[in-house]
Parts: sequence; structure tokens; C-alpha cells
Amino acid sequence: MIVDQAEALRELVAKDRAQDDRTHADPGSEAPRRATILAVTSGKGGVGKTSVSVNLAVQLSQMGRDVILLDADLGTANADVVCNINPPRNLSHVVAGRCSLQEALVEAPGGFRMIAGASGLAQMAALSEFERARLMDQMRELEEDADLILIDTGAGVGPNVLGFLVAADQILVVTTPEPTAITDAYAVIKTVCRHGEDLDIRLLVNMVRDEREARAVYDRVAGVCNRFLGVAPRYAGHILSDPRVPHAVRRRQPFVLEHPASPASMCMHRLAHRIDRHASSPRGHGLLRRMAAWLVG
Amino acid sequence: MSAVKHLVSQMMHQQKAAAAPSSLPKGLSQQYAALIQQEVASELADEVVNKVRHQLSEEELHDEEICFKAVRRELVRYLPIDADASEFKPSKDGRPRTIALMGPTGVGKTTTIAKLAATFKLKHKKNVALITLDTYRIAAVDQLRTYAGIIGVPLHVVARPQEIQKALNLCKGCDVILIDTAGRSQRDDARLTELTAFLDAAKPHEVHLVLSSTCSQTVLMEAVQRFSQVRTDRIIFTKLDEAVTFGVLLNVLDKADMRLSYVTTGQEVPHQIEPGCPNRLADLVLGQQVGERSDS
Ligand SMILES: Nc1nc2c(ncn2[C@@H]2O[C@H](COP(=O)(O)OP(=O)(O)OP(=O)(O)O)[C@@H](O)[C@H]2O)c(=O)[nH]1
Ligand SMILES: Nc1ncnc2c1ncn2[C@@H]1O[C@H](COP(=O)(O)OP(=O)(O)OP(=O)(O)O)[C@@H](O)[C@H]1O
Ligand SMILES: [Mg+2]
Ligand SMILES: [Mg+2]
Repeated sequence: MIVDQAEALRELVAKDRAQDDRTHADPGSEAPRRATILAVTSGKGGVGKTSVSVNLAVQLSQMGRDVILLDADLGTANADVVCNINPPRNLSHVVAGRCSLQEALVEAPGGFRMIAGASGLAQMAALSEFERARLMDQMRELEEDADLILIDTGAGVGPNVLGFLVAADQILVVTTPEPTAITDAYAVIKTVCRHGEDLDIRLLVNMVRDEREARAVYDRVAGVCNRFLGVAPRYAGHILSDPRVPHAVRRRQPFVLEHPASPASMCMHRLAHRIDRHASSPRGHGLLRRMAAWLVG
Repeated sequence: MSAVKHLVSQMMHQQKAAAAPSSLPKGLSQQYAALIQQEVASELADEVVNKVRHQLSEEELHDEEICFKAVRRELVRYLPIDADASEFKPSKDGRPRTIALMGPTGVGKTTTIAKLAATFKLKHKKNVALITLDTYRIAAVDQLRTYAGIIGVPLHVVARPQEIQKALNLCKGCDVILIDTAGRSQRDDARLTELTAFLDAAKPHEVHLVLSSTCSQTVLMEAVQRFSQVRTDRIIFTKLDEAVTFGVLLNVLDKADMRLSYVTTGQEVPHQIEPGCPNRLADLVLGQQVGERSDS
């Protein structure tokens, strides 16, 4: 049965790999741990989700944490581009069953591991039973293999993004002081609240002049949320607008590595410490269970 | 009456004039008709047929089977093939064997790269690395990355000629490096200049010009002529499965005086690619089916 023009190729590779696999040793049985899941999202695109995710991953791993960044931006995945790496496998291969999440892991600069994203993965919404079960199994394995899993989601709240959000221990909503970014951030918070209970949502204000501006933005969003949703996100922190951020992006390096002493890196540092404190006391649910709710529901 | 015919045909023979099908012995005229039907250039068809005519005796010229074989044998001489294509040969200078594919838009460069990568890796068990210079077409990188992911070979994306050395350094330990380029119109001088800059930086051992066998001869010859100014060492013909006639392949190889390295015969990766084989191509030019591969 030829499904697409690479079907014969897949079969061939699978056969080839089956031969190689016999040389593989059994993995040792370590005590299972469960990673904290942190989803980074936004309403509006281009507000700095990827920058935040990548640099947070770098800083947390420099603090000795075992971090995995999952680029789940199904529209415009680019964390691998920002880190200047070219992984042979990405999330699309995982979804298509061509490899496991584990196999898609690659080392990224700064000491963390990454699963690169794939653009145009619209078929995520239409996973079969079999694919769901497989993905869940693999998520569980991943949870036992890290202290912290960062998920860079796409902007807005499509069904796919939502799945990652309600499954996370903490949701970091990124916004900028721009009015459209603020209203879109509110929209995301609203949608997420409607789909999950007891969520830990935090607002990070990026590209601000100073902390005062960030606080003002937070107050506005929190005010509206309180009024209309009855709950409000917590304040995550701020990141100063800094020309060295786009500069580092152009050089395809995380800015905390390229310009460790820059104002934006300082902010990142504070954010990382704050998150690390929370991360060391994870809630007990486990991604799998909540993921299961989303996948089945 | 037959004596007159014989006389006429002898006169034709002596004149070495363009052989008209009606004046040819029956066996040969059938082959001639096949060649013309396949759109082999009439000068070329004449040349082939006239040569065969000299070689065979009058009796043999009436035997269809003998004529077919003789024409086929003669055609093969017009089909210069790249002997390196069917196996893996390491380069002589110690670098990974570096092969770049270029050509007009949409001819099948990327698909062919995927087929070659799979062949080298899975059949010849070589270490393969891919480099793509196509950051121009939407989703071009994704297309190749999908294949790279399935086959399990690294892919490096290079946006500027200056970056290519870095990518090549990363591939140092490989046996083969395959370089995909963006499809370029042969009329677009600026893009062709850009391509030249990339290839100057990459210094591939071989540059294969990829051409679709569905194009007209005029288009193909224009492409050959313009891309040769960039650099062309070999020709790959794609989409043999979609071609209506095969004479143009012969015409182009003859006029361009270039070796054929591979032909591709369908969209499926990795099977539908073959190293150029003169006999097989000769069969096609003589009107045999694409699917059947005759070995001899
Ligand atoms: N029928 C047939 N189709 C082919 C063959 N080789 C490639 N194709 C198809 O031709 C189309 C274009 O192929 P690509 O490999 O993307 O062509 P390309 O030259 O890389 O295109 P650009 O990068 O846009 O210039 C795809 O639909 C392929 O599946 C072949 O041998 N036969
Ligand atoms: N603190 C900052 N100061 C200055 N520029 C910034 C800052 N943070 C991000 N940027 C710039 O904003 C641009 C978009 O950032 P990024 O790609 O991280 O956003 P994103 O939310 O992931 O975008 P998308 O929605 O497309 O995935 C980048 O070019 C980056 O350099
Ligand atoms: Mg992004
Ligand atoms: Mg291409």
C-alpha cells in the first residue's frame, strides 16, 4: 500500500534499522522522576516565545537542571534555527511514527536537549487511536528523563496548542506592551481557563522599557481577567527590550550565551531562578494523565 | 519491377543522401520509422541508419531482427554514460565525494537527491550528508528534511556562499555529500550568477544538470547551454515515466556532448532511479516500454 512517495523508503529504513537494533544494549533501570512541564505561549505571534523558551532552557541547564525543549509550534517552528542546529528528526517524524520522541532528542548549545518542531503539522488534530497511544507512551518516557520540559507552543489557541497548555504544570503567557499583544494575551488566558481547572498561569511581559511598564501591563491584564474570568494570572516577570536579542537571533545563538551581561540576559536570569524554585516542587498529576484527557476528549 | 527498386536504393546508398523511409530496405525502414516517431532528430536518425546500412549485407537489411539489433548497437554509441554512477567511488582528493544537482525549476532535483541519498546510505552503506542551498522556495527545506529524517542522514541548510565551508567542515567524516540547489530558470541571469558563487565555494567533484524528459528539445537545449556556463559535468534525466518520446534525450546528449549519469522513472523514493544504461536508453529510443528493463 503506497501512502506517499516515501512509503517504500520508510519500509526500507525500518528493515535496515531492525538489523542495527540488535546491537543496542538494554537501558539501566533508574528511579523514575517526573519532569515539571512548562508551556510557553502567547496570543499574538512574534512576542518572543521562542527567544524566552530557548534562553530559559540554556539558563536552567546552566543551573544544573536537566532540560528538554520541545518545539511544539506547529505553524512556525524555529527553535532549532535560533540555536543553529539541524536535527535530522523532528516532531513531524514522531507524529508520523518514524521515530520516537527520545530518538528525536538532540543536544543544543548551552547544554539542554531539544526536539525540533515541524511546520505545517495540521494533521496533529486528526491522530488515530494508535498514534495517540504511541505519543502518550513516549511523553511518559520523556517525563522520566528530565527535570524540566519546556514547550514552545504556537501563538493563539488552536486545539493542538490547547492540548499542551492544559497538560502543563505551568503556563507562561508571553506578551509585550503593545495593545494588540495585550488583548490577545487576555484571549489566550480566557480560552485556557475555560478548558482546564486549577491551572498555574503566569504572565511574562517582554520588550519593556523598565519594570514599571511591565507591572502596568500586568495590572491591566490581571484586572480584566479578575473581572471577567474570576481568576487572574500571576506575575512571572519582565524582560527588557534589548537590541542584543535580535542581534543574537541573527547570529543564531541564544542571547544569554552571546551577551551574558546584557540587560535582557539579567532579566532572563531572574526569571530562570524564579521558575527553578517552582520547578523543584512539581504537582503530582503527571503529564500523561492530563494529556490523556485532552487526547481522548 | 524489383530490379528497378533495387537500382534506386543502390543509388541512394551511393549518394549517402538523407534516407527517406520509403527507399529503405524493409527491416531498416521500420527502425527508422521508430526513431522518427520517437522524435530523434532526423539528421541523427539518418546518420544512424546510414551507418547500419553500410555494416549490413543486403540480405541482413531485410531481416527486421538483425536491423533492430544493429540500430540499437549503433545508438548505444551515441549514448555516453557515466560509468561511476552505478557504484560508489570515493573521491581521489580525500574529501567526501561531493555531488551537486542543479537545474530548472520543478524538474525533480530534490526528489532525486533523496533517491541518491537513500541509495548510497542503504544500498552502499555509506555515510551520507545533505546540504541544501534552497532557502528560496517555500517548504523546500522541509521537503528535504523529511527525507533526511526518514533516511537518517544530517541535513545542513546554507543560505549564503560564505556559509558553505562551515557546512562542508561539519560533513568531513562522511563518504558522500549531496548538495541540492534551488531550481532556477535558465533565463534568470542573476540567479545563475548566484548559483555560480555557491558552486565556486562548494567545489563539488561533480555537478549534475537535472533535466525533465518531458520538456521539448528547444527548452532542454537552452537549459543545457545556459547551465553549462555555470558548470555541468553530467546530465540526469527525470520523469521518464511521463515522457511521450525519448528521441530528445538522445538528441540532447549528442548535441551537448555530455555523459548521462542517472535517469528517474517515477515519484517513488528511493526505487525509481537507475544509473544511465546505454542499452536501456537505446531500447526506449526504439520505442520499447519504460517499465521493462532489458539487461544485455
Ligand atoms: N513522474 C515523475 N515525477 C517525478 C520524478 N521525479 C520527481 N518527480 C516529481 O516532480 C515534482 C517536483 O520534484 P522536486 O524534487 O520537488 O523538484 P525540484 O527540482 O527540487 O523543484 P524546485 O526545487 O522547486 O526547483 C514532485 O512532484 C516529484 O514527486 C520522476 O522521475 N517521475
Ligand atoms: N527582549 C527583547 N528585546 C528586543 N527584541 C526582542 C526581545 N525578545 C524578542 N525580540 C525579538 O522579537 C522577534 C520575535 O521573537 P521570537 O521569535 O522569540 O517570537 P515568537 O513569539 O516565538 O514568534 P512566533 O510567534 O513567530 O513563534 C525576534 O526577532 C527577537 O529578536
Ligand atoms: Mg516562535
Ligand atoms: Mg527542490
